Amino acid sequence: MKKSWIVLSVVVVLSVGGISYSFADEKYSEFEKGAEFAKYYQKTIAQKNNKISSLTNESNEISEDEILDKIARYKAYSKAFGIQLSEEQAIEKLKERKLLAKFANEHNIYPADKEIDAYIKEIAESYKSTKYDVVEGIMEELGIDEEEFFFRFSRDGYEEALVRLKILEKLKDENERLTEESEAVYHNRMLEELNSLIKDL
Amino acid sequence: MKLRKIGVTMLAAVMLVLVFSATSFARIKEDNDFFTSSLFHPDYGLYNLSYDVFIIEDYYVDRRADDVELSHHHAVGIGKTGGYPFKMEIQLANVYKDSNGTIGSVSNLNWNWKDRLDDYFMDKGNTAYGGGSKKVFYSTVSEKPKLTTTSQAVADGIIYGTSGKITMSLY
Repeated sequence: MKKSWIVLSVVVVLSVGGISYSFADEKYSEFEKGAEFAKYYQKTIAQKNNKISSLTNESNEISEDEILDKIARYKAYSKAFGIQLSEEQAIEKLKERKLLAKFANEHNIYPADKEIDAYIKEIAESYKSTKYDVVEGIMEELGIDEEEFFFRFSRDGYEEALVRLKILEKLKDENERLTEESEAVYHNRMLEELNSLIKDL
Repeated sequence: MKLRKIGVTMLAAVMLVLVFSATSFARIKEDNDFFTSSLFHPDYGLYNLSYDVFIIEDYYVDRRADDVELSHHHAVGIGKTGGYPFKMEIQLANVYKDSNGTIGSVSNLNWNWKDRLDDYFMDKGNTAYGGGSKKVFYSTVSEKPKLTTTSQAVADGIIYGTSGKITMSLY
């Protein structure tokens, strides 16, 4: 009788330990990275008045809020994921965004709000079946739900992605796929065309 | 008294099964299964990249009763990487292990077999990413080794995503 209980106790301890290890392992660190990203993002946004005046903003088309938001994201990304992204890179990226938006507007290919919403919805739907701990950590730290994460917090990024895809479509209309060129290789060639276009702009 | 003992034994067995399920179902997927790598891009946000992992070909020679030779093996990931506003790649690395530990590993860098994979493409936008191997690995036990494939979604040459793992039994 006693022996059975000892065996059972050992099994229970091993079981609980094993199950919690399997859930904690790999998962927790990703969640923490997301939470750290959100913390540093909020911290930079809170320092608004100290920092923004020292930044160079040659273009009046970019608002201070946009610059601050982009820098906050880059700083947080560097801190949480160890990939160094500078303030200068953030401003350059914003300039690119504005130039491409202008180009898309001039050629009447800027996506409508409905189209942007549909693009985000597709990504948000894919998230329902494949969760990512980094995103879970960001949402928890910012105190937002999936709807807010995808349609508000990430909106600018998805909008820019869609503008770039629209311009890529235009470039594909103007440049045919070569014989024996796979769709993936063709797509990458058009991405290089897009980079050349950005330089020309 | 006897009934109680049986109850305790059954409970213990159920707990052990639970442990096994929790650890294996959390990480192991089978050959020809759907797989996803997530990527959180600093400019464009979250993307989930879906692809299939196939064992294309494997070939063994049983040299002796207690020794297995893995002479020829290919495991690849095939997925659509062309629909993004940045250059997307899947990086795969394969590690072969028997119960005594690692017997060999292969990464994308060793892979030069992509052109023979067209039959596996379901979509013209698909791309195949290796791991494959023509190396000879020797397992020191009679069981065939297991293959663990680690995958990463990479944008513009930078690893913005985190890795996922699939472990497959080789037949």
